[in-house]
Amino acid sequence: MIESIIFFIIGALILLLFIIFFTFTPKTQKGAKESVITFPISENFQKEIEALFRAELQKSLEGLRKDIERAGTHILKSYQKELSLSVDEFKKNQKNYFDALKNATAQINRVLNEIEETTKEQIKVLVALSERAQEQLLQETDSKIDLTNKVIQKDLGEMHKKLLDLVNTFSQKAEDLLQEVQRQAQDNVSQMPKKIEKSLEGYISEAKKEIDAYKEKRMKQLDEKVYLVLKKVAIAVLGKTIDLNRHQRIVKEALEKAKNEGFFN
Amino acid sequence: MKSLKERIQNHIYTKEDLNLFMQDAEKVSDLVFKNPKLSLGEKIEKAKEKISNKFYDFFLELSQDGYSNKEKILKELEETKDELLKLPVLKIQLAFLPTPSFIKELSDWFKKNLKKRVLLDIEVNPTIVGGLILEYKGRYLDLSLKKEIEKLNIKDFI
Repeated sequence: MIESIIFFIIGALILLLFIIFFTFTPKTQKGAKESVITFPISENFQKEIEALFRAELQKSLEGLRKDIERAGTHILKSYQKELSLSVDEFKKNQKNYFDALKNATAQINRVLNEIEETTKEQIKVLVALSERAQEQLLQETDSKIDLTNKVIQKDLGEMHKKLLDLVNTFSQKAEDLLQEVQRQAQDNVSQMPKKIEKSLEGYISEAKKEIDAYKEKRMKQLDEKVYLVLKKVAIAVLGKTIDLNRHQRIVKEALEKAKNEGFFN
Repeated sequence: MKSLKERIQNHIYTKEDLNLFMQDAEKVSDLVFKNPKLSLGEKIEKAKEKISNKFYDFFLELSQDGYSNKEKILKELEETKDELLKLPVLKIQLAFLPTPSFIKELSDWFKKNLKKRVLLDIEVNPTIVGGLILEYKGRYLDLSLKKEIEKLNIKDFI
């Protein structure tokens, strides 16, 4: 019974120790960026933590002591009960019982002392661990700061380099583009007369075609007008130049033609 | 003795002749019963100015031939008019003014070739230049020189 209580107490202390350790140890996540900046704990804060730690330990030891006393009382009562139940036997073995009781009491005291000693040692160890953890924390923080600075320096350097590269690239591209534009402009300028000449040739050819078509159309119209005038002239001249005899002859010929065509049938 | 119809055939060739004859016949008909003391010849002599030159001689000749029967004269005039009005009309457009002899020639030509008499309705139209344009029984035939000239391709002559 007592042994299990002792083991429970030791386990609780170890658990507490781990909680403290993990609480005050800086968290570094696996895969987190090295550029994360952590800062050291202030002295006041450190003292407050130590005071809190000692107070908690005192509370734990007090509780432990009370538990042990309650356990001892219980054991004693058990023994007393057993003794009362078998008074005769007790009487018979009174000396043995007292011895056993003494031994038990001594054992309890010894265990209590051992526990106290162990607790003190553990407190020492815890304090040492805490100090070491703080020191480690400080060291780690410093190293992180250094690392961060280095990373920043490195990033700045890389950024500077990238900027320089970018500027160089842009400059090169701008220069290439300028050269290309100059080259194209030169090509265009050199080809311009040919292009203009070709364009003009096409335009002139087209214009010639249009002029020819227009000319032909107008000539046709003119011809038609000329023919019309000629016909009118012919009609006027003929009408005046034909004498009566010829008129009469033409009429007679026309009548013969009408007869032959069957007009009078 | 030739009848009035037979006599008149050689005097009326055109629609114009017919109209003139109708007017003159009307006037002569009026004269028949006026002034019974005068002969028809004397009456026609007096009405010379009212009757056309073309038919004056015809009516004068008629009175001299012994047409003393007034009713007979009037009857024959009416019959002649009715017959002349029934003649088919052939319309002709000519470029010149035809002489009476040419009109007679035309009439004879139709009589000979169509085997019947026709009444010519002649219109003078110098714009057709020459030749003629015929209209007969609702048909039309242009045999004018104007049409021939228009059909010509003047380009071939230039």
